[in-house]
Amino acid sequence: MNSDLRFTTGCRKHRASEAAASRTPSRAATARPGGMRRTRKGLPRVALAIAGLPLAQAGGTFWLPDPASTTAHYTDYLFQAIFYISAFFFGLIVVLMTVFLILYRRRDTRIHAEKAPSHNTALELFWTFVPLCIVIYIFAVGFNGYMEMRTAPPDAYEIRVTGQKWKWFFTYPTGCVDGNLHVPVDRPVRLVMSSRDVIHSLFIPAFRLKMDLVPGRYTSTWFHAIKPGTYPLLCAEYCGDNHSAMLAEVVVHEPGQFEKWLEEASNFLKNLTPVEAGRILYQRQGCAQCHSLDGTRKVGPSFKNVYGEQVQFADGSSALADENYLRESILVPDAKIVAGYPPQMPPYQGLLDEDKVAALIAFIKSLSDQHADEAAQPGGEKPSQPGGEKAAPSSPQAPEKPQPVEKPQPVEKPQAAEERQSAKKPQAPGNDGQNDGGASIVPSQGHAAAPAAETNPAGRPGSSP
Amino acid sequence: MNSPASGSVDYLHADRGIGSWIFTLDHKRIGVMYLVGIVASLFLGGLFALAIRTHLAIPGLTHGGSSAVPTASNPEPVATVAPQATAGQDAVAALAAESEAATAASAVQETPKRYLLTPRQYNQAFTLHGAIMIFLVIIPGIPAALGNFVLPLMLGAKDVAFPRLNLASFHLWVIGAIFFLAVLATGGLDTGWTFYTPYSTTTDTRVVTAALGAFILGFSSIFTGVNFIATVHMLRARGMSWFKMPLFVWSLYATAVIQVLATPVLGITLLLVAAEKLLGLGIFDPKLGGDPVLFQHFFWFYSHPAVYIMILPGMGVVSELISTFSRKHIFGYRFIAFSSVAIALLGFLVWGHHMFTSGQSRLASMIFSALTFSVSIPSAIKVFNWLATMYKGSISLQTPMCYALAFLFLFGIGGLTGLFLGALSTDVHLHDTYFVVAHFHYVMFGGTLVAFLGGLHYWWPKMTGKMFNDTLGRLGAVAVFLGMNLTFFPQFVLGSRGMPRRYFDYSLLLDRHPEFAGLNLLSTAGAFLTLIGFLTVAVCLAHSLWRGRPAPANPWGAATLEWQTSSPPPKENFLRPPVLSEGYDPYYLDDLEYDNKTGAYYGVPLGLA
Repeated sequence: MNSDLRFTTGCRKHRASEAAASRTPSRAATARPGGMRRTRKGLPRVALAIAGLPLAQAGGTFWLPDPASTTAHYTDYLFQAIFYISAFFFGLIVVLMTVFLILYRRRDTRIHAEKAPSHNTALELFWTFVPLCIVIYIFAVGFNGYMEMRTAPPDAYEIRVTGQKWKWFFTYPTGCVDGNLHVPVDRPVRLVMSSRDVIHSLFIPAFRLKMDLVPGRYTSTWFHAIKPGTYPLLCAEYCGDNHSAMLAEVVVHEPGQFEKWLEEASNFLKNLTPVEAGRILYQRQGCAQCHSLDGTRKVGPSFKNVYGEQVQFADGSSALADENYLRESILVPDAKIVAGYPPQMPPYQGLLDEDKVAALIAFIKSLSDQHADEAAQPGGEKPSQPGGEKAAPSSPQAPEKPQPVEKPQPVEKPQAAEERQSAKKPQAPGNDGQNDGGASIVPSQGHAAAPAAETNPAGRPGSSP
Repeated sequence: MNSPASGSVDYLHADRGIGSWIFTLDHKRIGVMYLVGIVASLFLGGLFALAIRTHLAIPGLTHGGSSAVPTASNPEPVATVAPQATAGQDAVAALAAESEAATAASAVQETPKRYLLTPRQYNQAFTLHGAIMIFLVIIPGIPAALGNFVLPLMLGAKDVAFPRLNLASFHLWVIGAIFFLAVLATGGLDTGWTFYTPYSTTTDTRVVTAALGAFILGFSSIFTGVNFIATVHMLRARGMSWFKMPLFVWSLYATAVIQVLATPVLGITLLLVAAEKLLGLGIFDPKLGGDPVLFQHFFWFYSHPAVYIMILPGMGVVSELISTFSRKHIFGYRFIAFSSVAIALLGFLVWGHHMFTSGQSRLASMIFSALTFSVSIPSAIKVFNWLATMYKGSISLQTPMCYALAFLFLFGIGGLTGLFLGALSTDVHLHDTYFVVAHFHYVMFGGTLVAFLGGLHYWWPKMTGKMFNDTLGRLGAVAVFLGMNLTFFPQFVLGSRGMPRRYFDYSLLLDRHPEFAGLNLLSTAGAFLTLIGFLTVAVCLAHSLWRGRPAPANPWGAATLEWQTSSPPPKENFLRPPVLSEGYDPYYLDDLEYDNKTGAYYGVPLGLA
């Protein structure tokens, strides 16, 4: 989970680009499930937090975050109504208690209680019926709002949501799968949800929306976003070790931008090299939750230097990690369990087509110090660049380029970095400016608002020919 | 009957040897043994609570990298809080580091993110905190410890109806507790106390052991319930009609009904979970053809009534305390008595309000929401009746009364915030957030546990024969009260602003919600203040055992029967079984007179032979 944290700095360094990024979400911006840090405003907020005015920022009221959907006001209205009713009755209780305590405290002159009736049916019925009327009112208002929140308009845009420890998948009608929820503004969106393992719960505080994802059945909910922007999306039902890292963002696009985003996000496999596409899949398919790129141990083994190595299994056997081994490990992970790791990974059989598997394998290969050069032409699709690899004329900034982007790979050898540069070569030959963008489209580990991301979506596909 | 039993030895000294305790059939000794066990569990559960709160105090504090926590994080305001740095210094340092990194574009220094607990340890801590507190402390707390001791005395009986069943119930409690300790020793449990499937049937932690432990504890609870029902029906003193029973007895009776009717459902449900895990039966796990939501229905069918198992006896205690320390007849006896029964019965019909977002039908949610509100009415009646009892009373702020007033305050907040959660549209937002955590702690801790402490202080002289230091007692009450509020009030704000419960790490949320850090810190500070409160209580009560002055038979001036025998009572409770005449009223206090010299009340309550 902390990997998420680590990834965020990259985006903050490029704060200037953030606003643009949120308006024009790029592929890079989409690729990361769990980014929540885009809208940091920097110093003022930090200062407020320090100043002990923790609630003075972030909008909304003292109790509730800023509402951003059409149904949120049902919740907010009732919340306030109940709040004032509660405050009144609580005040009444405390005031009476205090007044009685002062007036009727035991003193030498007041050893015995005064005579007072020990019951009064009329009075008691009164304070039975007054609360009764109040709760009937609360129930009715709550029911009304709930029906609105649960009844999707028939023309709603439908997105499928799948929960899996500990990531979100949002499947759009084009078949595109993303780790963040992208939606158009001012259009009702219906979510049809299910879980692949345990119960999760989709929680978007800004929309006052929550619905469980239950394995073995579909649940659905809907919302109608009214303000472009990004909002946190959280898992609210306890689901295990990384429950608190099962985060994503809701990206509400400006009018017209959503279609553009979807178009680009849907065609990445065609437009990118396998290594780059694999990197995007690594994010979108949730590999990043459990497999690091820098050799760090997470829930599963790191992808760093796996390819071409001898792997030890829990049953004592071992095998060479070649393409077939990687393929099997992705599709049927339980076939061979790496020694020292729990058999936790869900099978991807049937979830990834051959192109995607090949792209992921190419990406894993590119992370191997020894075999990175092979990655560029996994299926022989890409023209190899013999000799050109190492000699690739990197731009002056080339060596440092990967740095901001590929945060979690500090140990990466410069050689590997060059590989990636060269892998992109065919796409942006001699175009250093583009290259800069190219480096970051590969959605850095990272963060949704990967640097320079916004320069890219336009440039990238265009640069291939 | 008022004077100490000269011809008989009190129950504490009637028999000697450890065997005379372990195999005793005396309800008073069983109650005391329960008390010891429950207090020990309370401290164990409290340790987990402190671990949780310490862990959450500052995101990313203390404890070096664990395997489950990947290292390597770029400097970042909240992630790298160095233990010695204040939040402010750190944020500034982080910003500096950030700009440095941006310009240098060189390898960023890796700083491991630090936590007190690993995710797995954290999940186990909140699971065991919940399971221990609920199954070992709060459910048996008032009925089995205080109720066991007081119920027969209040009824003027010699013992409960089935003394051997009573002992068996305690032994089962001990065995259940041992199962929980075994869970702790053999790898823990990380399902949350709710055991939600399919997480619980797929995790590799000790679900089966814990389920069996809870199953056994369930039987302990059922035995107590059966015993109390039979005792109330059969063993009331001659002349004690139903409406002459103390309200604490009414509440225990209502509780016992729930225990007997609801607990078997939990037992069977947990057995099914164990069967699914061990035998692969497809009941709850969809991979095996089961339905996970079915588990939630089964679970809450018990666990919501269980909430009333926890709170009703607390309300009973408070009814006693407020009347006694106001020196005034309880106001609206019948309304309070019937409201206990109403809560017990309505409590069975509201379990679905835990599942508004589970995917259950809109119709079901509507019905459960409506029924839920019906439960709030009897609670409101009680609160107003307690206030009316204080009206024109002679209110003495002795320690038990401090707890009773704290109960009114805290249960007031706990009950009123229940309105937010019973209403459908607000619950969708607040469900599974810290708002819920705060709400049920205000009810369970602020309500039940505070009432338990009040009752403990109230009956302490009767149980031990010693008076405690009232000043120290009140100090403890104030500290617990303040600590409790400081711990849980900020959690309402955390929850309504969107912090989900059971989050190992909220630092990822801080960017949008920097206020979470401060609120969590406040909450943790409150937890330690609460600890101070509990330690004060412990010191106060322990001190009384060695140094306390001998307790008179009736130190508080109550008219219920337990105060009409010596403190501590003789083994057989009453030297002469009390016989009540027509005029007896457990809340008629005017015939009792306080004697300044002895610090005791004298006089025979109206209608007592």
